[in-house]
Amino acid sequence: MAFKDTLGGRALIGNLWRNNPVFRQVLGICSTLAVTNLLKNTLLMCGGLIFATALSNLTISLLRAYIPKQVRMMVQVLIIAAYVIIVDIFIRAHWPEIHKTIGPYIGLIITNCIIMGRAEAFASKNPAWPSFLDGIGAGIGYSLVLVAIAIVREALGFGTLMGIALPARDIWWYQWTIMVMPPGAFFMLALVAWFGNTYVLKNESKGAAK
Amino acid sequence: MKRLKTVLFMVVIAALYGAGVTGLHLSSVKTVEENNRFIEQKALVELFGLGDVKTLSKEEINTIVQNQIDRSETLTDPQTGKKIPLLKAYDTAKHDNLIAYGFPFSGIGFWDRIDGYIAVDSELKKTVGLKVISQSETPGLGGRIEEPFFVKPFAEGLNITAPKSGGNYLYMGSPGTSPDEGTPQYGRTFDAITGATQTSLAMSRMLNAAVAEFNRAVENRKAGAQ
Repeated sequence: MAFKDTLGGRALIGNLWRNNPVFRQVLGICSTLAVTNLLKNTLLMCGGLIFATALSNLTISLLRAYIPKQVRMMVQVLIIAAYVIIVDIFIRAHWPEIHKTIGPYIGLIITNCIIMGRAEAFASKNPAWPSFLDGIGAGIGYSLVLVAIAIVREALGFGTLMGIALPARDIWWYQWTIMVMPPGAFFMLALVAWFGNTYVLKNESKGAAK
Repeated sequence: MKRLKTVLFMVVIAALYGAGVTGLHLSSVKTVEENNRFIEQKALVELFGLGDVKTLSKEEINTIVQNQIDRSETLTDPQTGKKIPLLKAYDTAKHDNLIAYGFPFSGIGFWDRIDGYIAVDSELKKTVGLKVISQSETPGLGGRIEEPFFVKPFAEGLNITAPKSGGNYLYMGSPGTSPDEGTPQYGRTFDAITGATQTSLAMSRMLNAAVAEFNRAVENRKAGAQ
């Protein structure tokens, strides 16, 4: 069986685009708005989220047979929080300069609906390996949207990418302050959601017609 | 029985994860403390211009701070009773020539607490530097209080002598404008950050408070010495 036809493969690939967590499932919006004014911060946030989502899904799936139904969400939050704290401690200890920049955002990963959403919707009902892949796919799908938004916001807001000035910045660039501020993220998110949904729905309707 | 099993499960899993995370935290405490100390030491070397932190090693920075910065004294603000740590920076380890004094400032910014140091010349008349040690302001907006364009006026020297009655020690001005000579703002103005008015106002408030406290504490020390 080809990878894309396996349960894990379908979950991973589906989360990248067709079931993208941000513009299809409308999850993880808070951090999408918060961190996307600088690409570097965005990439670090995405790395932390991929780690936390994948490992939370894996752990919750492994424990799913033992977790009492009444307390499953408490257990999920506990597991997610533990992984996020691990990310925070690791960055704080090994990359203090980076922690200084994104420290306040790392805690936000705990509140990211994607992790809880995938844990509840997928990991609590499926085996470990597909759940792990689902977590990776959801993390990468989230990252794709965030990176796209961050590239536009940083370029228009600062005239830079990853902190490096864009070519001939002094000639053409005029600061769009709104792009650095939260309203800029709302506009960009709406545009990405509009584009993504239009494209996905168009493809789905084409597929249905066939 | 089922309820007991559920409670037991929660207790066991919370204890396991709690112990794991606590263990990891405890194992990293020393490294984190060292990192924080190094960040502060690097900031002090930059603040007083005691070396190029990009080329100096961790050990060299530590040696400079230990040998060239005297942190043994504190001043007391007579109005609030607050103790102000006094930093004295010397150009060599022999402490022959005092190049600047330093004192901390802190306050609440737009999002969270901001901490840093102000350096002033040996005659206590103007600033010679400003360094933000920790802040959680909006990246790209308020977060720019650490950037050279914001701290440049402080390095170039803002007047911190007592202002005329009702005036401020420091003023926040619009970027690209400079106050006219003879106005209270002349020689005391730093640029606000476009799009980060609240952070700029918070900085103005906390810097004015810190300079006022420092000046009162210095006057108090002078009066005590006489």
